[in-house]
Amino acid sequence: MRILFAAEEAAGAQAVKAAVRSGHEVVAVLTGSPPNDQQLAPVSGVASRLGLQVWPAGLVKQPEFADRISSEGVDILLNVHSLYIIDEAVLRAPATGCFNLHPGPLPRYAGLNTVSWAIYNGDAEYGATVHWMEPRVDTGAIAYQTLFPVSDHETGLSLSTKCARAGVRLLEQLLEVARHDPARIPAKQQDLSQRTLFLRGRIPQHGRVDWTRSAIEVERFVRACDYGPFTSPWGPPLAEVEGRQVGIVRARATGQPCDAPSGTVGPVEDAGVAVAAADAWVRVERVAYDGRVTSPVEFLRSGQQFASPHVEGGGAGASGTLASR
Amino acid sequence: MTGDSVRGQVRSILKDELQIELPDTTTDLLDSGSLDSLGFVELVFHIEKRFGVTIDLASVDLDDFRTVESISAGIERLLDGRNAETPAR
Repeated sequence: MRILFAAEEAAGAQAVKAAVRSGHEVVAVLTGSPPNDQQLAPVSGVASRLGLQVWPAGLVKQPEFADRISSEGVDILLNVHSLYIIDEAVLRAPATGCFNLHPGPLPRYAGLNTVSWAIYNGDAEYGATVHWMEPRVDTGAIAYQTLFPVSDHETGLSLSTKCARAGVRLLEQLLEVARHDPARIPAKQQDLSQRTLFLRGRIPQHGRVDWTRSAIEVERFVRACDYGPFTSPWGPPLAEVEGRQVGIVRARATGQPCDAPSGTVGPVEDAGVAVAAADAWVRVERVAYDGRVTSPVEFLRSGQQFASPHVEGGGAGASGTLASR
Repeated sequence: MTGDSVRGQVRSILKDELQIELPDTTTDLLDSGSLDSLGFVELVFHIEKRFGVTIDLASVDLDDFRTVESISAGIERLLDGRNAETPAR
């Protein structure tokens, strides 16, 4: 098999390595990261060290690139986390076809940042999909898909890693079948009535914490944004307390009911600071403030009030105690 | 598997697979900028493959991935847990 990759991120790097390990011929890797001699390893660095050609990722947008694909005898183009829209002529060029690894269980969760949306929505199950590519994003027939549980402690980083791990296995499965008989690659049409498309730039609640929601909803939003210690696509959800903008980096719903007005800062303990949500206390454990990630204990005090879109007036001092989990 | 063996293999993964060489086993991989998000995920993959373990990122403290020492200690805990589940012959 002669394979052309359009690859980014860890999943892209792992997919390229897996193809080389399996003995497939990788024609080139199209990637957006420029080759460099730095110690850090973008996909271009991984490809270069494997002795593979590295081409600019944007080539897939050019219809004339289809001729090069044909002349190179490419059997399969694998798109792994590359966000370029591939030209229709390029999609038709490989002998077997073009496939995309999508970090989500299509037709649900099509588009971008779907890992975070799934956590935000409280889904108990998520997945990864390898599908035939069509001009419209994430609509092609499904070749392989896997589903796995989402834990109640899942973060954006942990679920993304699960997707990458599962997705590379799906690609290995695809390549193994394609090696022996491409006609056996499955193609199950998606039920697009079940599709939800998440667009670039769309962030829940405009990226702001709404303390009038339930404690578990607040926690899920924080976990959805959590790619720590690395940069989150959405950044931490923001909240304002006494004129200060704070990013909520880590928080847990305690399950302990509270009757304080939403957004009220409650008991301050070593493990964190309790903040009232609609139904229960949320223990805020880490915040981003003043350019650093730190403990909220440093500057939050009981009785302070986080602003909330649905809160009117100031809050009274918090009452009650917060037992440790 | 001894602690030294685990540490040695972790350093080998970092050097051979991720091209990261560290002056010692207590250098902070994240604060030093040695490990980015792509490298982190690759590190997880390689650890799982090399040691035959599964790392549940939803349950671990990511501070356990900061140094060779902490990574190795985490792997030893996983190995101990796996060995404890295997009945003695």
